[in-house]
Amino acid sequence: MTSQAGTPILLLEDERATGALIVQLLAAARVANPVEWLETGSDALAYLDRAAAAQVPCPVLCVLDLSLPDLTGLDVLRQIRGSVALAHLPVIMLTGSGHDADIEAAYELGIDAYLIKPAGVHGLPDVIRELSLDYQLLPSNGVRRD
Amino acid sequence: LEMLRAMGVGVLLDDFGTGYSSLGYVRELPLDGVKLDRIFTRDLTISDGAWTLARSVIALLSQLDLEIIAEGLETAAHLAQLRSLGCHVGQGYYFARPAPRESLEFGRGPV
Repeated sequence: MTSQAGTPILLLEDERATGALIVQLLAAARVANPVEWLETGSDALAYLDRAAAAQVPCPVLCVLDLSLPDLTGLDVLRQIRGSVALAHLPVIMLTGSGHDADIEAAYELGIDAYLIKPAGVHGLPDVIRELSLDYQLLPSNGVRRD
Repeated sequence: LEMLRAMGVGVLLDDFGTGYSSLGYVRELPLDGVKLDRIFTRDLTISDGAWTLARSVIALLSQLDLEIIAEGLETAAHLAQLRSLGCHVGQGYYFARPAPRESLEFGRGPV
């Protein structure tokens, strides 16, 4: 299944190395959607506000880190689930926290998947496939089929 | 086992993946599913190898239409990772510890 060209995956990750690894993994899994990579919770909330108002493309998927310099990934998740326009967005939490309280809070807020670093990072392409998202795949020759 | 299944009793292979509970039995025995040994669960959050192994085993068993019950779920992290891998049924201390029948109450249930 393909989505409208240019529908982004919103990546909220403040660690440069991890963000770069995630972008690489998605490319290796031939996910063709552009990655909108933001590093702070407030930037993510601002982007999502604009998406809810149809000023920027609504993401096909959000991948959120939990601990950020300003807010937490749970704050961003709460905002998404509380917005009529965004409530049904698929959201994956990708974090170093394996604490029961964080995981239970994320599921209570309606997370679609919760992956724990480091091993879980490599599961991201599988989880995207499992969620049957409306993502774009590049054909194996790497040429985009828009 | 065939007679039990004909009566509607489900048959699951215990401790799948260790000792005598081998891959060959999945073909030889009339099974409805397996209980995945805790060795597939315990290092899921820290080891790339454990993740890859669990992913492959769960994919294999799913393709054979076998129900999978994960053993050894001790934390929400174990549960979250197994859900991410497509395994949605599990047991372990995260839900409840072994207890005498008269003291049994329902566990925490799935998150």
